[in-house]
Amino acid sequence: MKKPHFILLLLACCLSHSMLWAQGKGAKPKPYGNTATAKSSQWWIGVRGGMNVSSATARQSYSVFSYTRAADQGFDEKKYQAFTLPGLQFGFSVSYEFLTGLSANILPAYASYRFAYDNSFRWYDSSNPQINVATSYHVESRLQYIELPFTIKYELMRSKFKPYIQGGAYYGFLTDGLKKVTTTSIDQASGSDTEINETKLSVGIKDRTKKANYGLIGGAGFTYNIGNARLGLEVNYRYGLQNPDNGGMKYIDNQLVSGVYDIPDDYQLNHLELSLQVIIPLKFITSQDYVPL
Amino acid sequence: MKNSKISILHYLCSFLIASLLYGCSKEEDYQPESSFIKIFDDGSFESDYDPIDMVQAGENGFFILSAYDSWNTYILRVDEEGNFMWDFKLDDSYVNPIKGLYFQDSAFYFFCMDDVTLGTYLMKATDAGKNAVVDKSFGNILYPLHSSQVSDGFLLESYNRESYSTRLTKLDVGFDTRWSEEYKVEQDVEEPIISHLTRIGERLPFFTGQAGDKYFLNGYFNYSMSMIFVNGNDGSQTGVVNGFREKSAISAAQYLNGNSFALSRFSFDDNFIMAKIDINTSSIAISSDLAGGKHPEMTQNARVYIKSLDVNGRNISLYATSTKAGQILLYAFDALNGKLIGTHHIGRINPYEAVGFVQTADGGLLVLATTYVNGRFPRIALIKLSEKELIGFAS
Repeated sequence: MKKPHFILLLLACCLSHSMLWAQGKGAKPKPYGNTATAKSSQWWIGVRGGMNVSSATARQSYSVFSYTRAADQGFDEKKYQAFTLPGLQFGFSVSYEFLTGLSANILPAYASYRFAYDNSFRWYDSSNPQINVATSYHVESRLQYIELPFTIKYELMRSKFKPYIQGGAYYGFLTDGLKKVTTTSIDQASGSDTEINETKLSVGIKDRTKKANYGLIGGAGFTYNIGNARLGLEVNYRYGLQNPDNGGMKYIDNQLVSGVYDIPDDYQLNHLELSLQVIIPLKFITSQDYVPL
Repeated sequence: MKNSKISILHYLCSFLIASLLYGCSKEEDYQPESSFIKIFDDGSFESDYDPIDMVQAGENGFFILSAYDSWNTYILRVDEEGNFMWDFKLDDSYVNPIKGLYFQDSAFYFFCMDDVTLGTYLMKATDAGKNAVVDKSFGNILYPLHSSQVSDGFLLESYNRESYSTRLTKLDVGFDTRWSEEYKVEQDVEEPIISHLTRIGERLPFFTGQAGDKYFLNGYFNYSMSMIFVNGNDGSQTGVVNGFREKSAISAAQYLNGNSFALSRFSFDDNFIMAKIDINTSSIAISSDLAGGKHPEMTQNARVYIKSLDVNGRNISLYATSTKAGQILLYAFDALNGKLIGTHHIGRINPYEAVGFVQTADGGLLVLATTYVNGRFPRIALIKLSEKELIGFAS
């Protein structure tokens, strides 16, 4: 089994054990001086949504070109833009507060991530470099997932205003992928010194992206009691543990490969997300056992 | 209550494990040597490369022979992942590198021509020297046109401007001459041959090969481009498939068995494929009489390359050619019955032209091509299809 998979499994087991321990011995810890009992446990459900920005980092670069002159080696390196293009995420939250202030959360959501890089190529007359043609490609990728983050959340204060920290892991199922490539050229050899020939190309990359993605998640936020509900805002950072590129398809020919010379790198994808959420207690509605936490 | 919680946890863990297995299934890490597209670029505006042939260097990559700037000679060495290792541009006096590239005893051999005497050189290139030097000189063999490997040596086709004849020379495995035979041309064809060699005019379908105990060559004979069949022992002519000047001729041939060949031909602007056709190699025939499927997608007088391959245990005839849409088109035919199995296109947006292909030691297919980078700069391209991709359309 590959190492990242093993780490994720280990994490899942640890979380499971912590839940078991919490369920079995939940009354013993006293985080806020209140004794938590089975009656004080609580389920919360809610909706959440927000925006994210992504950063892709190349781990291994690939190119169609192999340069035969040393001066041109590495000329076409992709330049990634970090945390620039906004994406969206929205979904549900299901929380089980098994100890006072400590809860396990599943946050199923649809998420759309966008990131971009630029690449450029140049051909010139060695005897007169003014005679040259430069072509630039702006490549924007959008990956969409159905994700299942699992976190453990710890509330730092017991009041109407409740700041918290959380950590866990996420697992996402790819639902779609798309690349948009914008090509621009400057053809000084033909007497032009301004950008011309802007063309746009959109190609689906679902089959060129791994069907699943996973990583670690950590973040902080707060909730504020409004009546029986809680309104919250949180910031999370997602650290991808997998290269999303489907290596088996890397050089399979299509418009991207032989047309605009775009070979995806092996890369790591991280995200910064901001979410608003509204949650309501479930037990309060369905059970007479509820004791306010 | 506790049991139900444990049950939930079991479900959760099972779900996570199933998800991991789902995510890992049917996806492969990239194997750099199994599949790639590489374009060899020098970043130069004025460079013009026209690849000719390639050979696999055992398990140590590939060697590519190319013309540059008309008919000068250029050699390029790449590793098994298609990455540049070294290259060498030969002196301007060594021109007209021809198809036929051989790997023997860790050295690469090919033929080219002296630009003044028009005589033929056998060149030898090595990784140690990272260059090419003259190994043998054939001063009496003028205008080399094509070479190929046969069971016990090599064939070298040339044109003798002094006797107005197409010439076939049989070389042994050490590249020493066994015999040489000429086939009379009844008109002066030096001009179209020079246009062909310098790439200022129409490219002509010269080729040689072996058919059982006979050899064949495609070249000028009498008044046309013709496919000549000769005795393997002395080169005496046994049969011919006549064309019509340069307008109608056989464009590629691969011997199958018995009297069967996989052929392609052109007739004026039309191209035809005959994946399995019987030819009497001891008679006279006319190429335009040979039946075949018309392929309007192919370029005018298309350059076609045919080889017999074993793909997943199936014997196929693989054709590589170029289309009017600027793509490389591979046709896979069943060698037993000549029926089409599948096709595969290579190249999008920018033009790609087929130059040749070899089946690699790992069962994949390596296609040598000319591409026009950015739509305008002619460059050498290597396209490696994995065995899985090859089986996908050819088996």
